[in-house]
Parts: sequence; structure tokens; C-alpha cells
Amino acid sequence: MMEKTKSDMSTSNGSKHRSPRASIFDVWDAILLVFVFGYLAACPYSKVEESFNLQAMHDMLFYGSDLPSVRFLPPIAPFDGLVFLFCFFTQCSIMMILTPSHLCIHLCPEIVRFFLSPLVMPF
Amino acid sequence: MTLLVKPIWSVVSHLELPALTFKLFSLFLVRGCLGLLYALSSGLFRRSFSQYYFSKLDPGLAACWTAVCVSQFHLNFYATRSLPNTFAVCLVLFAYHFWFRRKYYSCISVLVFATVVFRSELLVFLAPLGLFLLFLRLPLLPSLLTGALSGIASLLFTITLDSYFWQRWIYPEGELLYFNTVLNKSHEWGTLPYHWYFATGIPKAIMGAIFLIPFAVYYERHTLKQSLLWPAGAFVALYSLLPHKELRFIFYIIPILNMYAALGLRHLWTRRRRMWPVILLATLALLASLTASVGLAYISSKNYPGAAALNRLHERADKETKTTMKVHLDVAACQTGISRFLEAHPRVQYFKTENETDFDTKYTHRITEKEAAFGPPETMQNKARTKTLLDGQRWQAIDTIYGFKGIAFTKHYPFVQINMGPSLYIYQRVDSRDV
Repeated sequence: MMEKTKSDMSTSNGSKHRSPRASIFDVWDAILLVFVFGYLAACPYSKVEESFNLQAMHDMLFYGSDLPSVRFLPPIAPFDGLVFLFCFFTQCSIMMILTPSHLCIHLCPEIVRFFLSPLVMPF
Repeated sequence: MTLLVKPIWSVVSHLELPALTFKLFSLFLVRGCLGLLYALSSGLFRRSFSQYYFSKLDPGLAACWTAVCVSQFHLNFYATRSLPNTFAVCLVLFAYHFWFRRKYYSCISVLVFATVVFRSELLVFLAPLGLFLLFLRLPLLPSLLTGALSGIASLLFTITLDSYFWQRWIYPEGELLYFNTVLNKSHEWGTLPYHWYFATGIPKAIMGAIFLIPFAVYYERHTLKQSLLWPAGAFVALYSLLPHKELRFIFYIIPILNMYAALGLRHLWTRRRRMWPVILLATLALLASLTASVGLAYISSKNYPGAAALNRLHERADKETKTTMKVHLDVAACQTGISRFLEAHPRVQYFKTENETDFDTKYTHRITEKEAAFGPPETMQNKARTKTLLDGQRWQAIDTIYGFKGIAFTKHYPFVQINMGPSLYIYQRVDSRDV
């Protein structure tokens, strides 16, 4: 049965039906994203269940590398470190590429932390 | 991704940003990235099943899929929320993508990873899927080996990472599982009858598109034997055994049902000569769902009194430039919208001590659900005459935050009435006014 489906696939794909316009993000995804962002704009705040991860993300963003020393959340519901990393790396890459030239002064320490933290992070 | 953020960021960075705005912007950035991840994985899934069912990227199917997805509320609403379920949904979409590319081992690995790291409840999905794969004659030993190896790898990964962050040996998902199954505390959050997911949950999530699914099942009956509907149905049937039910627990099967709805619409479209009344009906149903979704979003936006209260307080802090506020936030306020992304006013200090008794010396302001002894304070107009005091005349109510309390149906336009009621109060210590 499995073999049969595999051979099916090879014949159907072998005839190069694949559209050349296959990209990882197209207009249909964009439409969906517009709606997703619409809901985000309508309700930007968070409720109790999601706040554990959100606080974790916040600490990750604003404390970065010295995180283990500043964590003081009670370990009621442990959150996932991967959530951290996902957030952290997306933010870092954005920040790295888009270095803003004129930032008001009290943002600077945070920006500096952003740039330094990947160097200190063990991963 | 950067292209998407760049215009916003460049505009924002040229403004003279106070810390408060910067933090709010970061909140949007974080949640926006999550939404982007969801859109990307859902696009990946769409292209894969399009290849699988039509052996090409079919624009009509893509349009149907987008129409079905966009008309719904819950999944899109939760896609930017930092719940483990959201992360798991993205991974499950990846797994479906591998499934429709017939890379079954990759599918197993991704699902095992999602189970171990994010939501252990996915085990309930993994088990029927594994049986289903055996039924489809996937060799037993290699698949078991794949599952075990990726399980061990994910376990090592999450334990290493989380133990670093927490500075102790920890496996977060395991602790939650222990909490929920061994101590069996989940039912403290409320219970629902067995059929709730089938009777209420799924229709709520799929909305008007639900009646398209039977058409897809009919037109795709030759592929039904290998359909993902079987493990998905088994997942819901098994998961219904748990008395505590929430819609977000079964998010993983919504993409499959959406896929079937989109397939149904697409097949109807090829037979549009005969089936045009059904298409018309479907369009109406999708439009009605979209309207309902927008309404739900409006209601939800009224459902965060904590955040609204804090914003009001910040407005006050902007006006009273001389003093520093020390504000205590009670549990009800923290649960309804306040996160650290909002706590950034330079002249406000935030405290969240639970079971606090000594309010009188430590704080100047309180945001609490506690009503004063003389009833709720007056409305905005005659605030000056407010005499409502809390805790032995030392705290004066300065503001009331109204939150969503329920909806009622009326006979005249727009037929739905949203009831708002006082949810939170802002109190100020009387003697702190003159300091």
C-alpha cells in the first residue's frame, strides 16, 4: 500500500506539475496574515493563560543574557525555553539588520543589550 | 520577515519614543512574529495538500482555503497569543505538510517534538496517527525507532534549555503533565459534558464552513481511506474523555477540517453549473461567519479591563508630573490584560504582591476589583463629588473601568446588545493627594 502511494507520487511529480511560482509566502498567506494582525490590533493585551510565556518573552527581550540572574517568577507553571529562543532570535535578527540611527537616549541600554546578548548566550 | 517589519520600525524609530511606547511596540513585534510563523506554516500546509489532492498548486483551492480560514475567529485570534498551543499548532501544521509530502518519518519526528516540548496532550493525537500509519502499512520498527529517537532528542533539548533558564533541573511539560494527570487538578477549572467538542466546540471554531465538509468527503471519497480525518476524529473522541474542555485544546484538527471545507468549496466550484445554489449558500455562510468574527473581536477588545485601567492610570501620571505613583495591582487586574510590556511609565512603580495586607503605608494607588463599602464610584462626569471610600476612609475611588459582562439580544437594530459593567476600580490614598 505504502509502496503504491510512493510510486504514485513519483509519477505525478515526475511529470513536473509543480508550479514555478511556489514560494514560501504568497498573496493568500498575506491575506490570512492581515486578518491575524487585525485581531492582534483589536486585542493587543493578554489574559492569564498566555501571560506566563509573555512575561518570559518580555524578560528575554529586556534582560537578555543575564536572564538566569534576574528571574524571580514563582515556578507555578514552567514555560518553555524554546518560546524564549524563538522570540529572542527573531527580535535579535530584526534589531541587527535594522539598526536605527536616531534613538532617544534611554533606549540605548536596551539596544546595547540586544547586540551583546547573542555573544554571551551559550547557544 | 524583516521586510515586513522594516517600514513600521523605521517610522517608529524616528519618533521620540518614550519607554512606554517602545515596550508596547515590542509587544506587537513579539506577537506579530508569532502570527507570521502561523501564516507561514499554514501556507506551507496549504501548498502541500494542494499538491497532494490536485498534484499542482491550485489557485482556486488557495482562494477557497483562504476564504474558509479568514471567515473564522478562534484560530486567527489565538495565532498571535503566546500559548504553548499556538506554538504546537504551527508545528502540527509542519507535520501535516510532511504528511501530504508523504514524508511520514519527518511527520512523526515533528509531532513527537511538539508533544515533548509544548503540549503533552498531543500524545493523544500521536497515538491514533501512529496506528493509522501502521494501518497504511508503514513498517513498524523504523517508525517506532524514529519516534523514540526524536523523543529522546527533544527531551534532551528541552531539559538542557529550560534547566539553564531556571537554574535547576526541570522538565516543564512533564511538571504540567504531572499537575494535570497525577494530581488531576485540571477539573478545578470547570467541566463540560462528553459531547461538548463535537456538539459545540468544533461548530464554534469552524463556523459557517462546517456544512462544506460533507461535500468534500463525498467528492474525495476515493482518498477517504487515507484521510487524516480518521486520526483527527479519534483525537477528539479520546480527548473528550477529559472533563475539562477548552477550544484551544483541539486547535490541531481545525486545519484539517478547514482543508476539507476548502476542498468541498473547490469541488463545488468545478461543478458550478449544477451546484451554484450551494455555492451561493456557502458564500453567504462564510460572510455571516466573517461578520460574527468581527463582532467577537469587538467584544474581546472590551474584555481587558486590567490593561484599560493601567492605561487610565498612565494618563493620570502624565498629568501629575511631580509625584511618583506606587501602584498595587491585584490578581483580577493582572489577569485581565496587564503584562510587563505595559509596566514602563517612568513615574509609576508597579507592585503585584499577592495577599498584601499593608496597603496604607506602601502604596499611593490601587487597581482592584474590590468594591468600596458604599457601592461603585460615580461616573466620569461627577467624579469631583465622589465620596466612595475603601478600607477605613483612606482610599478614594478615582476611576471605574467597565468591562464586558455578557450579551443580550434585542428586538431593534443591531439586535445584539453588549452589556458592560464595572470590573475594576482605581483608588487613590487620600493623604497621598497633598504630598
